[in-house]
Formats: sequence, structure tokens, C-alpha cells
Amino acid sequence: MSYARGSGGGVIPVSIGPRLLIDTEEVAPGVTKVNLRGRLDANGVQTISATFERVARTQLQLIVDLSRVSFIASTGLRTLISAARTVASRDGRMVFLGPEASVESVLITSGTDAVVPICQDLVEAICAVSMGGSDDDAFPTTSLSFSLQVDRSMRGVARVGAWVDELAILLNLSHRTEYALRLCLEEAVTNIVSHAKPVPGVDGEKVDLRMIAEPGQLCLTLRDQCEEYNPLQSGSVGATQDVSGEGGLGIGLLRQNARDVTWSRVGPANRLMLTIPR
Amino acid sequence: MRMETEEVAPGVTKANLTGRLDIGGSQEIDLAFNALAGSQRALIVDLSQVDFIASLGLRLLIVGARTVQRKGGRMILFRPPIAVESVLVSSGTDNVVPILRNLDEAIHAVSG
Repeated sequence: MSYARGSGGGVIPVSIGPRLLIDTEEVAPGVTKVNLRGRLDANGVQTISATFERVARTQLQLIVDLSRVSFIASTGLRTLISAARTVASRDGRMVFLGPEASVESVLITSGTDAVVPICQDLVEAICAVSMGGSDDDAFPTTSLSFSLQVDRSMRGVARVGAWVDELAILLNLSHRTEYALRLCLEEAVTNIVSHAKPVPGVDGEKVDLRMIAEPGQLCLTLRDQCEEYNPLQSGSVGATQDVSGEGGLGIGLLRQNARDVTWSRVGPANRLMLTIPR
Repeated sequence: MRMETEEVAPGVTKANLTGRLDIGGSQEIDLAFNALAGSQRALIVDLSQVDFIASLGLRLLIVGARTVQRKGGRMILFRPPIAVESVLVSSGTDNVVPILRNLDEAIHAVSG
């Protein structure tokens, strides 16, 4: 028995139809998009698992469209990750497309997005699953992911500095790239430490950092669970007017050393993303 | 982060900074550097051994320079490595504190 919301807002029984629907379409040569619709909970997973597994076993370039999934539970995450592993075991690629903020937030906090990238539009998704194909020297095999969680404190900022030391050695970064990485992370984390306000009842004492190192660039994501705070709005790009004043200077420097600096509110988290050329 | 001082000409002090002027480094020398800026009228800050600076380090230098300037004194930044110089320039810090590479010139500039 499944249920749907009636027009009056009450819950009324619906006699037929699963809670989760699945269908597939070919959106580019060799690229399959799986459209999921409904709730990815235990019941939903049961209704789609056979179809989904078959698709994962047979496709090499798979886009999982989550834009009409309203809820995801841990069983749902397991199903998605298991499918991604099946695809990856045959050197294929799988990405998520356009999850709602609440679903995206679960994908991120669970770390699922480290295994399966999240794309916001279809073209980006097609590029992501097509890129390199099974060529051995294409970027997936040479891109590395690193993550770190630090306290939202000055001690945490110091830990970030030590992390940069490690990364510089590990990735053999040029002095210039190491400098830009150190500067951007220090400014960004300091900003979170100085300005972000914890939400009552939510653990806002940590900052999560993730870096994907690709051959030509370092892609950084910083997340905190504090109140909504967009550091880019407070940053003036021309830092010369009053360099000793509060704010502005750090973000100005960050913008000069990184590109594609964006901030967004994802569920309960502030997310700052930036790219450093290497 | 270390700071040592020497007198390079009568009444002219050179502060030699060694290390990273990141958050930690800036905090380590904050007190000593402010005290130095408060007591000197002709100050050369040797950055040749500083391999990193971010906004907090810039603030330290700028506040120091303003402290010296308020008393009618002068402060100069001396020989920053290229990466550090580029941050000093892009942030406009060099408009507040000039950068020089020659010691005689620096001594002359702060004594003038």
C-alpha cells in the first residue's frame, strides 16, 4: 500500500503504483540517463533495485537524475554507491544530476559525492561521464581527492597550514601553487572562524575541507554548518582603500589567487568552492 | 617565526623576520613587532627570509607602518621574495609602506 498527499494536505491511500519510479533514456551516444522519481527509502529501493542494478551492469556512462527524488535514506545511498562501484569496476563513469538541496546535503555529508560527482546541468553531466572514456591517462585516474576536518578555531587554521605542507610534498606542487593554496585556505578558513555564527543545537565547530587535485588545477570545497554567511559579499576586490580595515583584504587576495570562487548555501551548510591553477 | 633586530646605521633599526607570516607566524611576533614599531622612528623590515604572507601578516606590517608614521617616522619593506612582493603589490600594501631592495637606499629613505 502506498500513499500520496491529497490536495487538501491530508494523506490519502493510493491503490496502485510504486513510491519510486525508474526509467532510462539515451541522452547522448552511449550515455544513459536514469530518471528516478519519488522517495529513495527502503521501500523505494526495493522497487527499483533490480532495474537499477541491471543498468549499472550494462552501462559505462551513466547519469543518475535525482532532480525528482524528494528524499534519500541510507539504503538509498547504499544502492547508489553500489551501482557506482559496479560501473567503476568496468572503468565506466557515473554521476548524479541536479539533486534537490536536501538530497544534495545528504550526499555531501555522507561523503557520497566523493565517490560519485554531483553535476548541476545535463551538459556538464554528459561531459563528466564521457571525459576520457577508458583511456588510461585521462583525468579520472590522475585526479586525487584529499579531505580534512579541522576545528573552527585559530588552531584549526594552523592545522590547515600543516595540511598544505603535506599536500605540497605529496603532489610536488610548484612554489607558486603552494603559495596560492596556502593563502586561499588560510583566508577562507580564517573568515569562517572569525565571522560564521554557529546555529543553536547544531554542531558548527568543524570546518570540512576537500581538495580534488587534477593535473591542471586544484579544486577546493570548504563546508561549515554555521548560520548562512556569504564571505564573498563582504569582500571588496580592490583592497587598497583601507588595507588595515576589517574584512575585504583577505577575500580580495583569495580572489586574486583563485578562480571560479563561488559560495552557496547547501541544506544546513555554507559551501565555498574555488579553483587554483597549477 | 623569528624576529631579530640590528642597528644598520645610527638611529636606523633593521628588523629581520624569518619564517612564514601566516596566521600563526603573525601572532607569534605581533606583540614584539608592535612594540618595535612603537619605539622606532626609522625602521627597515627585512622580508628576505619570509616565504609567505597573507592578510593577517599584511595587517601586521601596515599597522606597524602607521604606528611609525604617526610619530613622523618612516618604515620600509626590504627585499621581499617575488611571491611575497606580488601579494604586497596586489593588495596595495606598497602604497602604504614602500618596498626597496638596496640597503643604502633603504637607510637613506628612512633617515630622510
